[in-house]
Amino acid sequence: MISKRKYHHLPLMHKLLFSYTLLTIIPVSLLGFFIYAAYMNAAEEQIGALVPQMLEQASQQIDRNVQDVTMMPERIYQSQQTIEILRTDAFQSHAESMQQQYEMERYLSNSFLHSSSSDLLGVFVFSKNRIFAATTENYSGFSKTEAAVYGQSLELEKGSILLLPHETNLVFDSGADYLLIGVPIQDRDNQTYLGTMFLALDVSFVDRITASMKDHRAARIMLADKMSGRLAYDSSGRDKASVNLRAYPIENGSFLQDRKLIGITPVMQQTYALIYEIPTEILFAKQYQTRTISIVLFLVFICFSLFFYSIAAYNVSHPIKRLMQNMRSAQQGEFQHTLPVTKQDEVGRLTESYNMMIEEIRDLIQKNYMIKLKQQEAELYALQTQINPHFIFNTLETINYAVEAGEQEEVMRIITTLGRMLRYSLDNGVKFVSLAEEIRHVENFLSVQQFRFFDRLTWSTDYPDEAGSLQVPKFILQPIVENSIKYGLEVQTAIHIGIKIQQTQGLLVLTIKDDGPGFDPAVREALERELALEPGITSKSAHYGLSNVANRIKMLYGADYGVSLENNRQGATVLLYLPSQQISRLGGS
Amino acid sequence: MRKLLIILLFLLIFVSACNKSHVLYVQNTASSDKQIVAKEQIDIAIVPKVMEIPYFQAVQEGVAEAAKHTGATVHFEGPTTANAAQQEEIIRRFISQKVDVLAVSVIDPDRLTPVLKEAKKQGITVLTWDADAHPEARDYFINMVDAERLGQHLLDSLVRQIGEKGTYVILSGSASSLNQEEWLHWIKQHNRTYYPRLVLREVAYTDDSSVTAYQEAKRVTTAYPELKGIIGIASLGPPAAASVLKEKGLTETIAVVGLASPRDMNTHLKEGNVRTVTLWSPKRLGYLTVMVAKLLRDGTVIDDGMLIDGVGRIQVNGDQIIMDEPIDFTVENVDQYDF
Repeated sequence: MISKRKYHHLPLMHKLLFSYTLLTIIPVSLLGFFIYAAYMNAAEEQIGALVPQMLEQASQQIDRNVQDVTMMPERIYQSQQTIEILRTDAFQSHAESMQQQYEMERYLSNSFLHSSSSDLLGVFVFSKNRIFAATTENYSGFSKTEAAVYGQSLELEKGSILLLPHETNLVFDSGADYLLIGVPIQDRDNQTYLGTMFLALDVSFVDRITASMKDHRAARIMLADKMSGRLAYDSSGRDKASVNLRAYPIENGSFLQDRKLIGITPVMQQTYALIYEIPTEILFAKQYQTRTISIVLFLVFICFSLFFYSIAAYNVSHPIKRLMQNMRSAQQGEFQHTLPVTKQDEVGRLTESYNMMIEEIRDLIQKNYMIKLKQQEAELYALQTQINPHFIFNTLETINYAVEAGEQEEVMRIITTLGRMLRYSLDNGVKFVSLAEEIRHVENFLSVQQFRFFDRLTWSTDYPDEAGSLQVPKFILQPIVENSIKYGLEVQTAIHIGIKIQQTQGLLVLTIKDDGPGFDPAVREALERELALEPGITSKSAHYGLSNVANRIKMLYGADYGVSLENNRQGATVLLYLPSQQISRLGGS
Repeated sequence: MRKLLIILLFLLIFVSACNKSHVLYVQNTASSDKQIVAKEQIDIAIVPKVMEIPYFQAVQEGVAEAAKHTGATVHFEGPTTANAAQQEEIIRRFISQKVDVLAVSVIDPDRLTPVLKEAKKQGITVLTWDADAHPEARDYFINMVDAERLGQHLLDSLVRQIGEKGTYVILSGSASSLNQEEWLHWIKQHNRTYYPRLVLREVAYTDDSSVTAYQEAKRVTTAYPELKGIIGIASLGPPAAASVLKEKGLTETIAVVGLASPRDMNTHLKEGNVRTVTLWSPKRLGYLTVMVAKLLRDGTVIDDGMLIDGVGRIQVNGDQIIMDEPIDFTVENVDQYDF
């Protein structure tokens, strides 16, 4: 049988079918089988009890018939004349013995054959080497030889005997089967033996007696000699000479053997057996038909129910399977598909719950992601639009000094430059600008700063013309330059800032080099750590400008790009790595 | 898995249908039970009135025949003369031998009743045959013929020879014999009813002795010269009467009828001294007595009309078993009988 472990590993559908078989088909089959078995048993027992009773009745009737025939010789004692004939011996004149023969046979014929409605075929009297016979039809055999044999052997037995046709040479012309009943005739007055009377009884009387039992044509009724098994009578007419009575388990009753119901009852003082035989397929034809129909119906029922149950099981297991597949794809990050809910059962509700869960996950992801994006965008916006108020204040102060000094032309220039700067930063809708524009903005910024610091600030820009049309994010140079000025001029009197653009293999490198104090090693380490972090996670540190630039580059172009810091012999170098892309006005949003 | 189960199920159904030999019902028959009971060996004692007269010798032959047939042990012993005391002694001896059945032809009912009662008390089946005892002393009486019919028949036989007018005498055995008295009663009854002009002169007794029978026959023929007939109702009567008539040459004037064995009467019948005598077969009576004893001992109920092997149908009238009709012996058939 199936192991427990193996069962646990079966698919749900198989389990369902298995349990259905176990819980429905097997109990129903067993129940059906037991009901059928009980029914058949009852039917068999009923018939089994009925047959011996019928046989018993028939047997009693046969016994009575045979007994009646056995009693018939009594009639001979009523005729003094016949007894006197039998008392005389054979040695007499021919005329006298012929006369006796005539009288005796007339008497036998009158009182045995014509007077009764019996089934006698003939009456024979053997006495002292004489034979007197009266028969209803012609016969052969039974001569004086037999008269001698039966005339003496029976004297000792003092009782009737039954002989079958095969035991004598008596044959009737019609071929009728007979039972030969031999009865000794005694001279009761003298207590001597007179002879033997044989009465040939036509076995067709059994036909009459058992007629009521032969409502089935297939039924066969036999009368068999118990010792030899020889058949004295066989209703089927088949010339089977004998039956094997030893193969029968009982002597009186009924039993089933070789697909036949057989009833057997002893008859004629236990010397013969009356046998009733009927094939069970005929006796129980209706029952067998019912059985076959039931089995067919049952099989059809099983097929149908298995079919429908398979559908039901499929309906249960299929959505679960689908759900399972969907979960597996969800596990791999696919949250796009929800499942259709077709039913309101548990599976339907499970699908529904699953759908809700997926939707919720999807919503959460989207919500968090968008919030982050919005935040960053806002942050960027703030940064982009950021013109340091400190710078504005310083510039305005410079302008103030210049106005006081009456340097009108200079003021004009500062204001124009500042205006250009403000204009640049006002143009908010644009994320990307050409490198030329960005450099121009940085030069504007440096020009404005130069008004404050005069000779303390010098700069140089170096870039090939074709690089001017390359696309860069807005405001990526200004924060770095701002830092250089801020930290350089804190400790030194003068600073030079060099901006160099290089383009190699699709990579655009912007180098901002100063001759300031360089990065303090501790600060640089901290900065580098911060720059290596994921974009968007920025701390509001002192070097916010630098990290902001690095962040923006990473966010726009990915982790392959970014910012690196170097300390050279004199001052610091900041390298910005960007992809080399031609400006596309459409790319901005 | 599922296949296996279905196959199993079908197997189960078919296995149940094809049993080799399945007994459904076993019937018990009374006849088969009866056969099982072993036939016990039984002892039957048969006591005649006397041993050495032809009648009882014939009975003994029948008894022997029946003993051979049934396989029962049969003792046949009676007194040498018809002496009640001697018979009683024999009966007592059989009782002490613890026989199973005692069948007696009773000489003197009054005398034998106590001893038969005693036998009965000891569990012995007591039968009487030929001559009865008082009914309370025995279980059954086996009667040869119906007393009324015999009485009528004997008188009718006489009337056929002498006509309905005249005188006759009866030779009986003894006054103590119950069945002879009964026959006598029925003869008288029949005489009164049908033959009023026929006169019974005397009933003489032979005392079951040939000598007495002869003397009595001689006496009555002398005493009644107008006598036309003699009826002998004891078996010694008719032969003695016939002899007397032959001696006196009166065979043509006096007719003799009655009970006598054919062997005794053979010569008289052939010489024409007597035309007909009546009797039953004592052999058959002996045979029947043993058969009845055996049947009773086997517990069989004796019914009216029952067919007894070697005997024929019997009549049963209360506790009387009646064997047959009387047989008439004439010159034609007397040779057929050997008793």
